[in-house]
This record gives sequence, C-alpha cells and structure tokens, in this order.
Amino acid sequence: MRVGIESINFYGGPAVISARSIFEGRGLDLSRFDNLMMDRKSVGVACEDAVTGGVNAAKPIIDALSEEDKNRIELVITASESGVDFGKSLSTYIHDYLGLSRHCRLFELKQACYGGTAGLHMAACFIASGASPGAKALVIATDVARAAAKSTYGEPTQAVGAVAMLISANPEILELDFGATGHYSYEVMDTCRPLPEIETGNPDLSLLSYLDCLENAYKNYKEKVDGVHFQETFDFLAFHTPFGGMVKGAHRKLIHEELKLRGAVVQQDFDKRVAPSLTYGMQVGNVYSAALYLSLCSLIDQADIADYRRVGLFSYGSGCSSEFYSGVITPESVRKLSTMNIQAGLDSRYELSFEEYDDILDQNVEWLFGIRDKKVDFSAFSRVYDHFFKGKGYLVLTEVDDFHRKYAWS
Amino acid sequence: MNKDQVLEIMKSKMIDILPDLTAEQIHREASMKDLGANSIDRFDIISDTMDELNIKIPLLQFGSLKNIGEVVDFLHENL
Repeated sequence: MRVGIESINFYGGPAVISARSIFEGRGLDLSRFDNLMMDRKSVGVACEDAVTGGVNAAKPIIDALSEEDKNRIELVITASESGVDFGKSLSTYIHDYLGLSRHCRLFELKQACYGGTAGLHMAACFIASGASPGAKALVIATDVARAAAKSTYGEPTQAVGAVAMLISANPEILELDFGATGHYSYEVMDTCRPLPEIETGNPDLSLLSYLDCLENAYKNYKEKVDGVHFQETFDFLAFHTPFGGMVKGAHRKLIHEELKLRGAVVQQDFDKRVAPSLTYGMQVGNVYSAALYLSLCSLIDQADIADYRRVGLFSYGSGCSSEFYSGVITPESVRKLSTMNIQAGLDSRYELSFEEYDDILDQNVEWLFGIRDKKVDFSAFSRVYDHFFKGKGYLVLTEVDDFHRKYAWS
Repeated sequence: MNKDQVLEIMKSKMIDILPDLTAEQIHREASMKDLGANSIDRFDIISDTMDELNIKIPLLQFGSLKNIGEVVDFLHENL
C-alpha cells in the first residue's frame, strides 16, 4: 500500500524582518552572521497563535477537497512546542475552524522540532494499518517563537510558521519509503521551553546533539535498508533547519563520515542536493516543528524534478528524538505544490523596521501562555493587519474569554 | 601516543579546515573559537582528529571543553 503526504502547505506569518537588522539593532557580533545563512525571519502579531497558524496553513488544503474527501479526515494531530493549554489540544480549535467531521480523533503532541515528523509517521501508520480504508489524516506542525527571547544569538532565527499535511494512501506530494527509517533518541538538556516567557538552553550542545543524531539515525537507516549509498541513493536531502548554516555543517559532516570527501566536491554536492531545500527557510527562519517540512516545500518548489526523485529527510528535536527517513517526490509533487503559491505568501508579508519589530515583540509578550481574559488591540499593529490580513480570509485571534480562545476570519 | 602527539594531529586538522592559521597560533591555552573556528568547524576538527586517532566518542561529550588543551586531554584519555 502506498502512503505518504497527499497535500502540503506552509503559512509563514504576516510580517518579516531582515536578520541583519536584528544583529545590528541588538549589537550582536556580525562576524557570526554569515555562518547562519539567514536572510529574513517571519514575525507574528498579537492576533495570532499556534491555532491561527495551523488553520491558515491547512485551509487551502481543506478548501480544495470535495465534501466527501473532507469527511474522510478521521485524525487531526497537531505538533507544537507553542501550545496554549496543558489539557485542551490545539487540534480541537483547528478541527472546529476547518469544519471537519466529528467522527475524528483529535490530539496534540510535542517533541520540540521533531514533533511534525512524529505526527507524520503516526498518521502514516494509521493509514497503512488499514483500520479505516480510505481514511485521511491531517497533521499540523505549528510554532511561535517566544517573544521575550531578545538579544540572544537565537533571536535572529527564531520565527513563526506552520505546515499542514494531509496524509493518505494517495501520496501525491511525498510517497514514504514505508519502514525505511532510522531513529536515534536519548535524554539531553540542550534547548527547552521551561517557562512561558523563555526558550533557552545551550546552542553548542544542541548543535552537537543534532550532529550525533544525524550520524546515528542515518546509521540505523542503513542497517534497515540494503545497499544504501549516501550520494547514489538520495537525489536530494532535506534536513531540519534551525538555520541554513547548521544544515550545511551537517551535510559536510555526513558526507565526510560516509565517503571521506572534503573541499570543493562537498560544496558541489551541497549546492546540487541540499541548497534547494534551504531557499524558503532562509526567508522565514526557524519554524521549529514545521522546519523540516518547510525544507521539503522549498525542495519541491526550487529543485529540478523531471522524474521520480528520492529524498533523504532528517528530523531533530531537542531533548532529544531524531529520525532519518526517505521518500519519493515526482513532477506531480511540483505541479500540486505550485497551486499553494508559497513564495507569493512569503512575498506578501509586511516588511518591519527594527523599531516596529521591537514594538511588536513587546505587544506579543502580553500574550504569553496563561491568559484568562483579554481582547486583542488591533490598532496596535494596524499597519501589519491592513497590509496582510484585511479582507484576505485568514483566521485571527480576537479575544480570550475565561480561557476560551475566540477567533474570526479577517 | 602522548598528549603532544595528539596536539600535533589536531593542529594539522585545524589547518586543513582553517588554512589561514599557522601552527604557531595553535597551542593548548587557545580556544578554537578565538582562532576563528565557527561551531561547525570546531566539531569537524574534532571529528577529523578522532578519525586519525581511530577513536569514536559522541560529539556531545565535547560540549563543555574550554580550550584546545582540554580537548587534547580528553582525546588522550580515550585512546
């Protein structure tokens, strides 16, 4: 049975700021800037949360389905490290605003940036189990950077964004090589979100853990799949992208580990097999649980895919859990994803000055976890709202009423 | 193999990755970061040195080491 991603879409927020202007505005060391491989990052405003991001990513996918197909969505998994309640899942709100069938499982999962991959594979296993022939699953990975995390080297990369993926036995975007997957997970305190206002940790430790996981998850993949060759088996690679420089280093390490290559040939291989997956990420920043799937969208939209092409995908989530797996993309993936116009969505973001950006972060800090009663003051970010949302039919948060979040269409 | 020999191997790997460095600049008290190695470079240097020494230690265990001398000592302990 074929199984994988039938449709995918990315929502990249309403506003954007250049990464360089954050370096300059915060007085960060610019000699570290080029290593990041980051141009711009997406910024959210106070009328948004993990729910609105998820719905805004999923709505074009759902709108394109027939009523019959829509009613076959029997599972909604939301992966996030930006939840809004300890008990009530993001999926409950998302399911409601997408108007999905009530004969459906709803839950939320978390494992830092690995969450989206966990959701994808759990959903694929449900489809492949045959427990409900013809069923579909909606997997949403949606995250929001902590607004209070200012003046760190993480700040220029920490962004906002969401991916929605429809998982089914009709995998027109990515057909999984089902079962071809390697894992590597263990307890480590690298990065975390232990309080409403912070995301913290040790970035160097996280980088080391990412590299150890890549090496060992790939090794585990090779143990399960016969005849794997790092350059010949995979036409393209898409890795979890906290920033482009991390992926460049990870590719450099793995190709050296596997094939003992160094120098110009490594750069050529990177340009050919990896760079297309980074184009969107460099314009958006780190979108946590959605980051690998933004890379997949970038690859499909940017690479030359004239025939069946195998992609090696690596997902890492701090704490930590990781997975290296593979799947196949085709010219049909390109045609189908092009209907989502991801680049046009990114191009329509409002360009923030550093002062506007800093002001928006201060507004967003008022909306950290645990709000009981509060109305959104749309006038505080009216330029962003009028530019991006007004009349476009996006979901926005309007108020929290006795903890219940209320939304409306813009 | 003594620690000086480990240091010599590490020096040659550093110069492979950062060709602008000279052997004189690389000593036990220096940190790779101060010598211009970014985070990815640093762990490439450690990986290459481990390859040459024919040892395999998870990179995670190098996270708290402060200078080249501490890296050399740690590698030497694991020979």
